[in-house]
Amino acid sequence: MTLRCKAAWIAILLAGLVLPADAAPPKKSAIGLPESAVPRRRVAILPGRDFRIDPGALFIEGEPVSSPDAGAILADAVARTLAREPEVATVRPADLRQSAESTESPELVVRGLLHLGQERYRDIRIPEAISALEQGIASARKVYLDILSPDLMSDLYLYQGLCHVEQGQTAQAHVAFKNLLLVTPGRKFRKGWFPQATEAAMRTAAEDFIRTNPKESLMGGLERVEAFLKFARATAAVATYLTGAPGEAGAVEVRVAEVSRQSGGHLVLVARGESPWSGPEAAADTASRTVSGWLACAVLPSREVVEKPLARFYLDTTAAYSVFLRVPTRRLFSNAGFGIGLAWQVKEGLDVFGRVNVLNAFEDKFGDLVKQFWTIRVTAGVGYSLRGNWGRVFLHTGLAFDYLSDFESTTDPNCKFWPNDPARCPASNVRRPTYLLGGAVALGINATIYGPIYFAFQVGVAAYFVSNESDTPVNFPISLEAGLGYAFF
Amino acid sequence: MTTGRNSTGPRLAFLGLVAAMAVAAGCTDSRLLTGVYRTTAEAPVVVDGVPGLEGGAYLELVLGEYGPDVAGIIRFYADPDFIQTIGGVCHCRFLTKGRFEGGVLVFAFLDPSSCSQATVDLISARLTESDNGDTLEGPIGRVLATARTARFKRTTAAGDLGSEDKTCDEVGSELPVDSGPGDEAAETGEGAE
Repeated sequence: MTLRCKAAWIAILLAGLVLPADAAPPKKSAIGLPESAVPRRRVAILPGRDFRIDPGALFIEGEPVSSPDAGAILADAVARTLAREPEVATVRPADLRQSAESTESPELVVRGLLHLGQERYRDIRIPEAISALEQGIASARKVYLDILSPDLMSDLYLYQGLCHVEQGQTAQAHVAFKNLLLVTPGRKFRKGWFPQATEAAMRTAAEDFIRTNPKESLMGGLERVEAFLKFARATAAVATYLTGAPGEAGAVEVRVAEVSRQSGGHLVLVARGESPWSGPEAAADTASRTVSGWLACAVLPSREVVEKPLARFYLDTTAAYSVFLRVPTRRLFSNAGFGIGLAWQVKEGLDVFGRVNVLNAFEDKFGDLVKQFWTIRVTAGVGYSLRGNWGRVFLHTGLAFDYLSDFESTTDPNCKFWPNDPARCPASNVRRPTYLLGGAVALGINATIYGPIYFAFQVGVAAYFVSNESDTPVNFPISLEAGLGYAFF
Repeated sequence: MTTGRNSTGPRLAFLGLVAAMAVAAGCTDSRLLTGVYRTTAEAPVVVDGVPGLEGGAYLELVLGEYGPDVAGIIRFYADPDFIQTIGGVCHCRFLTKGRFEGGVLVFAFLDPSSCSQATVDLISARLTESDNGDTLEGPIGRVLATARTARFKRTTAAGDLGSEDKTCDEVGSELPVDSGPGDEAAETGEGAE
């Protein structure tokens, strides 16, 4: 090995070491499907696998040749069925696999670790080889290379098993060879290539695999499939495989698992199909029927019950009526006008609001109001609310400021008859509050009428503490407002 | 369409509520009595014991009613055309203690025979409003029990009342028996009413 080559391997090794244990999957890895105008549900199709292993045929004369894979036929049948549903976007391993040439590709790092393990194995530096291979296997599983690049994963397990055989660690070798068969069940080896003992160990592993491989072990457990779906940004996965012992026809197995729609839901098995193996066409038909059956009831975007988010802003305009409970006149007088308010739902249950009312005073019974006046009332504060699709109820509390334009009142009839004659009407006989400042509280309801339109009603009261007249002659207004509002964003 | 119907109902209901509350809070006409009233030409007012009014005078009431309270002026004329003032008598007096309750107007005014503000003699009146509100009738005098009845008819409605109708300069309005307004104005330096 040249110096440059060694340096490259060291760099790869270091890169493998710094790969974080829970390295986030490359964002680009889930790319691969064109954006569609129609909302689509992403469904991952796991590689179809033919677990009908014949231990006696594990080693063949001459070079192993690739033969038509029945598992791939099943996966293709699933893909064809799903492709007929426009609201489904299929995600296959090839869509997720990053270019091996990419410098960011984790596969490149794993491949480097494999080569390092192979080098150490050939140099008979077995412990170092095992270390590199185990590191490669761990890294590969984190980025789901057992799905995306099973041949690479298979080589890692092969050399891991060979190393353990060299070390005399039969049990570990047995596990490694079984893992090899799990990711590449159809793999064959050249007869005589490995020592007799190694061939025997591999054959034993194959026999054991047939007996012990659990049917439902999708990728080694639903938790791993769940993590893979997150990686693939999919919400369902379809797995297909063939099982059967030597001498048997075998069976076609189809499994569909999807993420539960409940909050924090985990992956659950939602559909399964099984049929005896009677040829590729019948197997494809089983896969197609199982997937079609699931699709018939699957939650697709158009069938999804979307809970519309509640509005964050509430704007209303109202007709307003108000009466001051403390007045300098002998009888109460009415005020009527309009109001406009805006509430911003800061978070659930809490809002901030602002409101402006313009009110015109009506004449009081005894004419103690020398003239009509306008009240411009501004209130602002925070509110506590309970919301739903029906609308919301709220309690608003805050500051209130009233500007009273040309308020003049008196109980002296002379001041009414000669309002501008100081000789007949001393200034002290006329009350002229101009502004009022205090606190306000209001209770209201916004009842949804249709869509974002709602009926608004509120009743409120205020108490003023500050005025240009020391005794705050006008105080404690109660108000009623009713109108229409619009909830948005 | 459904939306419109739904939104109109509550709005109309609310406006009805506002109207009802407005009426309940007292949106009534508080100016029923307000206006100018004059004695009729056929029946000059005689107030016994008041110099200048004992021989009969034509009186003009300018009233402003505010609930139960009444403010205003009473003017005194010598002729039924309400042009000539009465010699030796104040041209006008402000009403005091004016009240209007149950269709009866009660008020008092200072004896006009002396224009001094210092006078304490009050002349009172209790006038009853007719059904149509255009006529006031009742006694005016120092003692109402024995006073003669006066009758007033509305000549100016509340809406037509001008600021000049409300003008009264009590002190400067007394005229000497044998002199005209121009002389009085020259003496006091103020304009006579």
